[in-house]
Amino acid sequence: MAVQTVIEAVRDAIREEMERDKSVFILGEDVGLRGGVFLATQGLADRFGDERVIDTPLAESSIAGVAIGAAMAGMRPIAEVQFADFVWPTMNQIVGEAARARYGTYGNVFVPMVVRSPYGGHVRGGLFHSQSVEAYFAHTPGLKVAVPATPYDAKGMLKAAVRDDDPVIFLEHKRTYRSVRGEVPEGDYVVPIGQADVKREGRHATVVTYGLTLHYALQAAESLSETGAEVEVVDLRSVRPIDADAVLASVRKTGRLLVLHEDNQTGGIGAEVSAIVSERGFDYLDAPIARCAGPDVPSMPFAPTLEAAFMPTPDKIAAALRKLLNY
Amino acid sequence: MPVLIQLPQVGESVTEGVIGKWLVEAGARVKKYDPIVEVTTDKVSMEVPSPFDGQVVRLLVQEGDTVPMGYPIAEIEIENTVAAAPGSGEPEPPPLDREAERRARIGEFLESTRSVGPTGSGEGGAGRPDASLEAPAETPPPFEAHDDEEGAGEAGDGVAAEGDAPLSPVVRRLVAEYDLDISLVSGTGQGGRVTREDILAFIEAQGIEAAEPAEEPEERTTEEHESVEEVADPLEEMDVAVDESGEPEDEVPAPSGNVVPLSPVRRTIAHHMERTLEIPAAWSMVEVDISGLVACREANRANFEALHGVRLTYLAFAAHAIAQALRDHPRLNARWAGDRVEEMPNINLNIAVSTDEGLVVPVIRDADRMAISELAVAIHRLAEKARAGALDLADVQGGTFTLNNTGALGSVVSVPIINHPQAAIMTTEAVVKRPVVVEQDAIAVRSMMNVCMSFDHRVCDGADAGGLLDDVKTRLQLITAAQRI
Repeated sequence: MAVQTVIEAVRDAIREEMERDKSVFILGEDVGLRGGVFLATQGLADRFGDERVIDTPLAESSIAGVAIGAAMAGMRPIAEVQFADFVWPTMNQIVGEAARARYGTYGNVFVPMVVRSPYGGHVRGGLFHSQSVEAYFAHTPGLKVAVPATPYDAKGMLKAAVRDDDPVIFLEHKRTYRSVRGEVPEGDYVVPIGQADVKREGRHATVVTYGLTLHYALQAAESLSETGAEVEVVDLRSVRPIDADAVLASVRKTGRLLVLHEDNQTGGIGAEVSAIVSERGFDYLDAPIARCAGPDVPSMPFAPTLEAAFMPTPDKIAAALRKLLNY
Repeated sequence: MPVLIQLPQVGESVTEGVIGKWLVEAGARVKKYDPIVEVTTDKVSMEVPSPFDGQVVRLLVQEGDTVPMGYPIAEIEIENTVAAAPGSGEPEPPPLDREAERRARIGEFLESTRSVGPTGSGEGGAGRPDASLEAPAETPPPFEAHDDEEGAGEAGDGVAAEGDAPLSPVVRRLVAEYDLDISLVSGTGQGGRVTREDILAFIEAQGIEAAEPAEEPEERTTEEHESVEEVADPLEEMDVAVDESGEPEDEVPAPSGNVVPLSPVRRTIAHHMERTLEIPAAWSMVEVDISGLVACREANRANFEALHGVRLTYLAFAAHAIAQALRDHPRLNARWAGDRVEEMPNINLNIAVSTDEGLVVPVIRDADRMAISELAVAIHRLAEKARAGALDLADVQGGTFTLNNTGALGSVVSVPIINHPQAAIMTTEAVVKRPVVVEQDAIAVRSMMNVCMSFDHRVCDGADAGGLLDDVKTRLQLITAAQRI
């Protein structure tokens, strides 16, 4: 097993899938000559040539449209949207076309496409390079939405996404790119989309989260363990579909649930998780479901103090957990 | 001091009850917990206990009256209280306010009465004086509030204040399951709230057994949760149905061989088979060249199995083709109803599954709306469930057409028996390589599979049945390695 960063795991996954399957190609802004702004595609243009690693104009709508058309014709494109904040021009293509194609053609036309995009803040990205966009896509039937947080999951899930016959929105938290290292197995493996993973076991309370805040939650759980509290941390890994069974199994064990994400609170993934537990796990709850999420402000602020105020930090998560545990 | 006794809330969805027999009359002395009236609701019949020691002043509703939950039904003079104010005229039935309903469901004042409903949610509702009534002076707060330095400060958002701590869902469930007296449990939660840990510690310290041992709350697994309140065992259900129509066995001479008593499944199968005797069945078969399908399965197999963790079977391809074809052949997706044929609105495919207990045929609903990959997963899950004996009633009801993969047993031709009252049953046979004549009279080695069908000749004719078989054949033969599943 090699220790890798998330960005290295992503790059390896793309390269291995392109080697494995000739129908896989990548397209996006600066993915070729520059190797991507985060270097996720570094070296791939040399390795595979400019027919399979395509630098596109600054036109996200056409990136998505080309990818969808290619996928319908039998290719397996990996489209990169340079920052999730730039994904809005693709919405018409992705929501209006990709998500509906299989349904609308009675199962005759599939769109096996991956849209990769770096998302999230706490990197001094300011208003236009920090956004979380998962809830918009998770609302759309016909899409799958993956949000891995570790090198192992990033590589295995990206491979699963490429091989999936449905469009997958693959969101990579940009702060995890180089700040999270972890062991990644040699050789081919996939991590199925739609399966959560218990990243830390505990019996007094459950945190359900994904993305960067997974790591913050693990820090908070560690700090609380000094007081004797055993907090279970469930990493959703996919926010559509949500692994309801895994969430419910944990809540049945602990009776207390904190849902946590960096994305704005209202209408977020946490609201959906909360609803699932209310519907199917009500009789196991020993405390009201708590939410810890980004505040409902229009964007991530730029000033470091304000950015810190926006983010659900380990301290805030620990405070929310203490309140939950003391209920 | 007279107080009103209200009809207690006995379940979340029960809104009214019918007053049955009054067990006391005006002037009678009653003790706390003595039943005072019988009440029938659409869910349960029960006796309403008196929440107090006292004397019945008068009854406010007649036998046979239908009254809403919370409606005052009697007036009781509580013992050991000073009748300070004279009973000044008629006590007005108080209007039911939403807050009172909410509080009734939360279940405070648990010490005043026993559980009265199937959900236990009536606890505390019985006889709880409404806020607008005079509360008996000696009513203690439900919990001893513990000193809690955080309690007061954090009580703001929805946390109950001291003496008013609501029970959490899990605590309510445990109280019902273990039939506990909550007033004996001291709470350590915020504001003296009884937490799940408090209950579990109490249960352990007292060595209490669950009132319903089957429901071990902590052991319950994910798979079980949805069927907990459903009919537990569909086979049991079937068994009952069979027993009603079955005839007692005549005495038979002692057998010399091995005697196998009938399991419920075996009995059901036998019963179904007997019913098919009345069906004038006809039979037909087509040969299908599935070489392209075999290639498609090989192309997708490894990837599919890595992604979904289940095998990609030929059966899933066949189920897909059949379900699609049935959309164009509604007469085969039908049933005989004595004086008419009923074409069914949905295509719900029974899939035959062999289990240790015998053959069962769980249903895949709306199979025509599923992709091959979805069918593969669905069939796998149902088969696993069937083999685990965990099918519930919904899994086996409502099928409109049956598919049996007899090829799994190595068979190349079967004459299946129709699954009454369906119109037809199809089998897919073993895939075998055979020399066949192809284009330009060449002979080639192809992967061949027979598809057989028995059909009810009352419902349709050979032309209908042949049309379906031909359609299924065409769809299977059109599959190529490039097909998306």
